Amino acid sequence: MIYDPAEGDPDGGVVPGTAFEDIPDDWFCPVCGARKRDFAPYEG
Amino acid sequence: MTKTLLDLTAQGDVGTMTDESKLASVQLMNPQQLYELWEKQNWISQTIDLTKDKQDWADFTQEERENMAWNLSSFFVGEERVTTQFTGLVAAYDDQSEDAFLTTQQVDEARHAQHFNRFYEQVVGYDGTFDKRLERAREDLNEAFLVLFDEHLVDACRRLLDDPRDVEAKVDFVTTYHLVIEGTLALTGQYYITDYCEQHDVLPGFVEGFRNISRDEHRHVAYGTWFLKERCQDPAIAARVQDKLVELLPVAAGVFVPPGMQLGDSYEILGYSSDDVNAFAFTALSRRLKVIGVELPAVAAA
Repeated sequence: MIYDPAEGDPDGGVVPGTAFEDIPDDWFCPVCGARKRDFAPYEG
Repeated sequence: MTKTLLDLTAQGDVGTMTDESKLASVQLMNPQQLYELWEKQNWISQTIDLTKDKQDWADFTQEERENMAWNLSSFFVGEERVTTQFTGLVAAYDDQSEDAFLTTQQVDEARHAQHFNRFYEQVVGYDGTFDKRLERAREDLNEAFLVLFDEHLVDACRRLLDDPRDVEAKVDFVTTYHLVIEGTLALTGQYYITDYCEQHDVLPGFVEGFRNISRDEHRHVAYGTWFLKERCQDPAIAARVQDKLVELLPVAAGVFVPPGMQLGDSYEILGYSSDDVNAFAFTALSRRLKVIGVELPAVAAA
């Protein structure tokens, strides 16, 4: 998934408005299970 | 006693999850985007340096070697199982982009099995051929694993080979493989095994390959989530996914149980508690189901 700071991930404990850098290190993508460190900047 | 994956599913959603969840509106990558990501994330299994891994393995205690072998054998055999049992899904593509992506997944699974074969040959020290090493690794596996991979997965593949246009068979395969085996069991095992190796600074070559495998599997699970979300807009298909989970979760719950233990026992895997492992797997499953738009099925715990 493409993380959108405006949306956050309320279900995962990340409130809307949270910058990617401020997501806890133990957060996981709800879609594929990737850890925060596995994400890469979106180039689309 | 520990709460198994089955117990947690019977218990329902966890309190930390909110009704205001926007998970169902998450924008997912489609097969074309996932194929293009595959091209950027290719890797080579045969050149990974296993020199330090050999020394680490020799330095392990006998108990550490047995624990690690039990954990890794399920992945070694699992990668072989899905490589050979994925052809039915590849044949069931709906358009050229999906065909391209599914073909990459079958290649990925073969490469993953190659990584494990190389590790078992060069580090664990199993002599003989690839097939002989697989046979020996099978001796480490529990009954639940064999039922899931040798019966459910094989049957799901056979039904697609019989009729690649059978939509219900395709939904059953993706639920079995992408949602349960890969998305719930494998990603959980990968998390804890990788964390253990990193915390103890052991098996760096294995971990290098395992991280690449995890990255591949994130793409695979993303495909499965996309496919099921698309199909589950039909309530009858959503109900079918729930029915398949009711059938599979009692088996899947037993896959984590180590030798000498029974489902419901409290135990540790590489120092991690069964409660932690089961909770991790359950959270992954329940959050993914929300993205797909399917409610947790009512599964009766034993």
